[in-house]
Amino acid sequence: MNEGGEPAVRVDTRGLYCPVPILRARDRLRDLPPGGVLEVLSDDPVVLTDMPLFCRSHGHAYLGSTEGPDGEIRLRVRKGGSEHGR
Amino acid sequence: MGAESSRARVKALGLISGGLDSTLAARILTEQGVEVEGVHFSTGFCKVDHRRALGRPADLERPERVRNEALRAGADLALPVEVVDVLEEYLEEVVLHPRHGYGSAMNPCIDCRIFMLKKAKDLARERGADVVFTGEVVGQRPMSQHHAALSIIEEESGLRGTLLRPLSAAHLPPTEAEEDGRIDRTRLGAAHGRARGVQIEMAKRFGIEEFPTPSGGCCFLADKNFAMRLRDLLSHRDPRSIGREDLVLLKVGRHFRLAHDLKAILGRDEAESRLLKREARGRPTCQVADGHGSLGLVEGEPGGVQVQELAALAARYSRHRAEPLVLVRIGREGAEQRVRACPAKEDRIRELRIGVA
Repeated sequence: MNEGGEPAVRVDTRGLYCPVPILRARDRLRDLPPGGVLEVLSDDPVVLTDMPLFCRSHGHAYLGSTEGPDGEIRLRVRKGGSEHGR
Repeated sequence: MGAESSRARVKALGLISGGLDSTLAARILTEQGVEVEGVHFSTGFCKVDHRRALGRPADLERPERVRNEALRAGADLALPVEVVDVLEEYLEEVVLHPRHGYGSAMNPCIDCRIFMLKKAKDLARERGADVVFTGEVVGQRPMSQHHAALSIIEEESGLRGTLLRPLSAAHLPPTEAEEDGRIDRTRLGAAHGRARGVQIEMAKRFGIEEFPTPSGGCCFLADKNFAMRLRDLLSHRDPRSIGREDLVLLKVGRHFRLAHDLKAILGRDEAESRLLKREARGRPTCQVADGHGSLGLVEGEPGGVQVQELAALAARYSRHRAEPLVLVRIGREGAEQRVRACPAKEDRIRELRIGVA
């Protein structure tokens, strides 16, 4: 199960193919303060590969994901505090 | 970019595809203390993105088949790689109106590089970067990486003197940062031509083990079949109405033009049919009634004869293609009609088909 508390912001990217869900998540993260948690909703399984890479590249913490039986994926990201966390 | 020239540490922004060359270019610079950031422009024509969209189970089980390599490179090199969606501008400025023409299909490689470098120049200014770099190698690609092309690209992108190609620097005039010693030219590369030996050797030296293998081009615009489909779409639709979802559909299945405002796309396998079903989004579909055949996505509103023609196509691309009459369901989900049709004949298929597959 995820860690990191209740997300401050959610972004729904269902119906979109990567990299677009990553770009939507990045845009919402810009609005968050360092340490803020974003929840991303997606139905593209590729997001499970791309999101951890995006987080490592940009200094965010990837907190994990849960998958529903209908293929709906919920991912959580904690915004990093570095200059790259944008 | 010039305001930062007095800084002790140089900052460079690179075009990062995640391939070996751009990864090495970034690594060469970080090794000599240059602060590096990356940018990756998502145009909608990437072949890997198509494999990702299809989501075949065998691919999803292997991250190296589906991951975004630019992000992977950023993660491995510990540098931020910004992915930027440029589809709309790219289609208008580069694909539809290339100043330097197309390659063998609809690939405007020189205009593509100029477009991306201009974008990178703007981003570099925003980020306070002194230099823009790429993983280009002199003589590696026939259209965009011979000496004259590299010079045109540098001039038209407005990056004369600030565009660095670290892998091939020894074969190119020095940039301003090399001339004034902020970047040590003696530690840059001398790669040339199509052979990959120099890069493989560098990768070993840097301990870079994971990188995608070049697989004969990564851009759909260089694919002749895709180009035929794109040209067809552009001649039947307002280019301004074309979005990322249209490009997803151009890459998948067999395409048939039935009228100016009517087209069908039939999946070639289960993964393509699944994608077409997902992408229907309220549009009509067609498939043999027992489900043992390709699913077709219909773009447009078919009339009576056209319904019959679509049913014939669905029958042709099904397990029942040898039968005289096949039952096909066609229409929007929840409002489908059932039609009996003879499987389409090869000569009719050839008349309707866009492209060759």
